[in-house]
Amino acid sequence: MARERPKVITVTGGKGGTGKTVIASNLAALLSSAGLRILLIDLDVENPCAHTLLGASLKVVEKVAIFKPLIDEKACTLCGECVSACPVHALAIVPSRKVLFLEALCESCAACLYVCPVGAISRGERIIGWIKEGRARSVDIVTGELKPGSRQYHEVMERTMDHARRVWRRYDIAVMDLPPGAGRGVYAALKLSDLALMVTEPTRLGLADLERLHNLAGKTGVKELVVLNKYGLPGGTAVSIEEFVSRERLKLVRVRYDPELARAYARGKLVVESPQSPSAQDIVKLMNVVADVLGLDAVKYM
Amino acid sequence: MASGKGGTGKTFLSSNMAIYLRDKGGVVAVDADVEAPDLLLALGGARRVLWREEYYGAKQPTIDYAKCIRCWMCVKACEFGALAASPKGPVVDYDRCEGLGTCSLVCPVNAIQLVEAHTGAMYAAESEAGITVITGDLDLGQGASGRLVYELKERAYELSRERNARYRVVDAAPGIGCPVISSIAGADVLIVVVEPTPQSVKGAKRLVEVADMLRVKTLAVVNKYDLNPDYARSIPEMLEVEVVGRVPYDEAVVRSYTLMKPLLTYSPRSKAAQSLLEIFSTLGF
Repeated sequence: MARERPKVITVTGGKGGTGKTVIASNLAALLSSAGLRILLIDLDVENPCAHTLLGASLKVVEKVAIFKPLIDEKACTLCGECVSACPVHALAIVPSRKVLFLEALCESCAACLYVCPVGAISRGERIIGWIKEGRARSVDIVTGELKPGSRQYHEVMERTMDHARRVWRRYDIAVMDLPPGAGRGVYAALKLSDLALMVTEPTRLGLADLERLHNLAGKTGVKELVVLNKYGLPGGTAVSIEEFVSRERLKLVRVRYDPELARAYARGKLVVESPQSPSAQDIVKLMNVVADVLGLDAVKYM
Repeated sequence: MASGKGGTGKTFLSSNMAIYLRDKGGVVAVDADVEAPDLLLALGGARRVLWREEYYGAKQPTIDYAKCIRCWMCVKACEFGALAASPKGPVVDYDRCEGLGTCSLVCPVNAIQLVEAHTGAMYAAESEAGITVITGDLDLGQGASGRLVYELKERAYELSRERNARYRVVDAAPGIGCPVISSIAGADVLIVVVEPTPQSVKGAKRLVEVADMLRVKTLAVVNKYDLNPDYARSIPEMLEVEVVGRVPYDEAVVRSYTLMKPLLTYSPRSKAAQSLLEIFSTLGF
């Protein structure tokens, strides 16, 4: 029987800058070199960067558009139905006797379209982002990107997931790189996932955001694996995270604090290209734990 | 305080700026990173909660299946794909619902009512470090964070008037989306916190673009500049924004977090603290 979907790994971590993209892109490259077909889905639509670490260039394959009203001034009778139906006050009748549309306020609910009694409003579109694709190191990449100035990041995340789901049966594994936070888009991604890698760092704030994320993941039934990145960071504190992990009976993988990783990142490179570096060795270990949890026996030769 | 990319040091800058401004005319700090609020922690945690307010930021459609005639008008009208047909009638996917009520509007038999839903909370607290912090805390998995941020800023405005506090510091979420736009709209100055990495600069450029649209004056601070000094030097040119200062990488910063004490209190003589003081005085507070 053909498989419906790949195994889906989500790389998340409530706090920003803990190393989600580094882990996601290095892991994707490693899994791909182990012979698996990998789709990397970059859902950090506000600042997508995974492709830069893999060295891929992207091209737009779909624009993300939402509704906006087009008003036919000749047909409009200034009855005001659309103005009172708009829940966010994006429409107004101005003294010069026309309907003014304030695009920045519009939430694209299309209520105006349905209430206009004379058909003076038709369907227009507003572009809020793009879905792009690329390929590098045998990893196929799907990236969502929010257009600067647009607010609807959840919508772009959700459309990017929809796009990826249409093609992902061709792959063994999909790796989703998430933005920071624990909001609606993160929740939607966790619900689609088999395994959540919760990347944190040995700081008090890393722990606080990890706790939130663990609570959110608990609502979805996804398997959880804590990745304690920057382990050994001078001045940091891993103890409270280790205590949390054992209290909650979670699995933990440590990735050592490693200037080599930081250098690779700053050059837009993968650290697994320097296989001797401590962090690269730890990411290989992480891959083996992931393979174990997901039952991917093929990977274990590494 | 914002940055296109997460983890560049927004909360670090915000918490220490609040400490600095406390003695320069008073300050109210706002944690607008409502999906991962940490500012209060960075300022030592809450000594005393002043007030707490529940936030009902969404409307949810509820369907009266006894009235429903299964015409599916609501399913067709929903722009967000949040309604699906099922044998008993339309089913709402609340995770995709924006709560704007077009379904209710088009229903010919009035079978859909909108009910207010809890999406988060706001609270003000006095931190251990003596700073008043207003925090937004979005319920896990929720959306509509931008509206919550506007509410927070309004509370901060009222509180700063009451207390004659001269400054308000808003610690924004990472990124450039809805909550960030709400955070920086109307600010006197936006400080972009950027690290010398291509990923951080890319995010910062996107943020500057948004700030220009909102006509907010923008300055930048380069954090951990010595991790890549050459790249750091080219940041003003890449961002086309005035850089008001650079902060070196300093283990004292990590330790200050571990101890939950702002750097300016914990280690005012550290090199990172010294550069912060220089930046804050350059800003003319």
